[in-house]
Amino acid sequence: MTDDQLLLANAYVDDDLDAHERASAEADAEVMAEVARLRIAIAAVRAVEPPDEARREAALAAAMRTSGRPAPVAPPVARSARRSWWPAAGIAAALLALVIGGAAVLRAIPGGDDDDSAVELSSRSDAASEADVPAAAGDFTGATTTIAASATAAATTEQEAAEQSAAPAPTAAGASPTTTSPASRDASAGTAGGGASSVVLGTPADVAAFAAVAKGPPQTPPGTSRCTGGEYVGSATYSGITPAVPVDVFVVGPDAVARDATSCVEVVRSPLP
Amino acid sequence: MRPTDDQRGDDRQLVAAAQAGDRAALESLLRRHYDRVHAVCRRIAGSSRDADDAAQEAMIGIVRGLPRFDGRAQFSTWAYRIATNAALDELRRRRRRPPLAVVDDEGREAVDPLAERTVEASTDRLSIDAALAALPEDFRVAVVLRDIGDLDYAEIAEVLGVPVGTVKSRIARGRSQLAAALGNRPGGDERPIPTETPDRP
Repeated sequence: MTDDQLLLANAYVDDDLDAHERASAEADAEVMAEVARLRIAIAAVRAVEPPDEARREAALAAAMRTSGRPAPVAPPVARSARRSWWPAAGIAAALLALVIGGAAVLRAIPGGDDDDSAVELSSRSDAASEADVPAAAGDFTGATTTIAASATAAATTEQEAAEQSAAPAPTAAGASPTTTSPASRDASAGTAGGGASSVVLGTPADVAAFAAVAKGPPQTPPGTSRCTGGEYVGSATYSGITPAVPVDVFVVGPDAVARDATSCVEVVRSPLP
Repeated sequence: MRPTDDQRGDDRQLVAAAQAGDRAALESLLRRHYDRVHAVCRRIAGSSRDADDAAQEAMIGIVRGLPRFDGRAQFSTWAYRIATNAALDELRRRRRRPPLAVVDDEGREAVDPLAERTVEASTDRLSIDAALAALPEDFRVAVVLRDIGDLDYAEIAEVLGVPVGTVKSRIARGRSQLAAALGNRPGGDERPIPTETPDRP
């Protein structure tokens, strides 16, 4: 059985042939034998037991209860847990930075350890603030402050993003993608699918621009999405509807497609620029 | 078994009414598609229990997404896309969680009340579940959307975001592997054709 014969047999089963192709299929005994086997397989696939009545009614009732309600962006429990967790994380990050900075100061004192790896460690601990790390080896207090402030700022940004995604959406007018640089794109797209992103897209054109930028090499792999269909390029929040929803952005053929990260429903589609 | 023009028209009317806030229309729409959505989930997820959960998620996803459904695609195509994603999501969740044993009050392992539905009465059905589970996910989804959802090649291509040629190839190879796994090789021991099929809305 060649690939052509296999495709012909399947097209025959699906009634996707013109008269000439159909005749040639029927003239090929091997194809027709394959047709018979495929029909048995198809019938087996279609032989699905009916759903449980009680589960059907429960599912329909659950779905009807959600009618008229906005889709929850994040579970309330998760939000409150996140709120109580972030301040503690910020304090922990600040303490860690103090310890690292203190160790570096001790090593820099004449007579101390000449190894300056601690300085490198402290300056690497936050790539985003790399430019702010003091160049002078003695200015460790400044380095510590920078790292601690950065950690707190990161925590604050995450918290704000979580709150923003749960709050009513801003108006679409004037909204634009807040992320265009590779660094900030990585920061947002680095999270797995599910819309956990601080990138806010206000219009279909924003979605297209985001997809075009996110798709371009080089970049950090954008993680994964629970949705399928097309090439996943990153997550964002789409504010062009009310309330704003977390979306996973895909490239599907010539279009950028944003899908609701929770339900995978297509929210907006726009041609790529 | 493609949907008739009447059925499509009914769907369009129900969608329009549901989008306008008619809850009775919404319930009718969900009810007429539930069995087929469940069947899609059943064949992709591989068990009745997972299909129940996935079908419920799909129903909720349909309700939440309906205000944004623009009618460019058939409602059924759109609904099966949601069902497919829900079933795949359920499948991934199942892979991540450890198998649970049900233990009774005295510490003995009890019979899972849903196990009876998992261990279907027919050996043929177990075979088709195993054969489908052995297919690559891409093949399985394409075959299920074609043979359960009755979507045409172009609709499946739209759902999966791949070219039509890729859809044809996945369906052809998927069905062929299924036929081989079910023992339907040339001159082999062929199984009887099952007849039970969920009703098309």
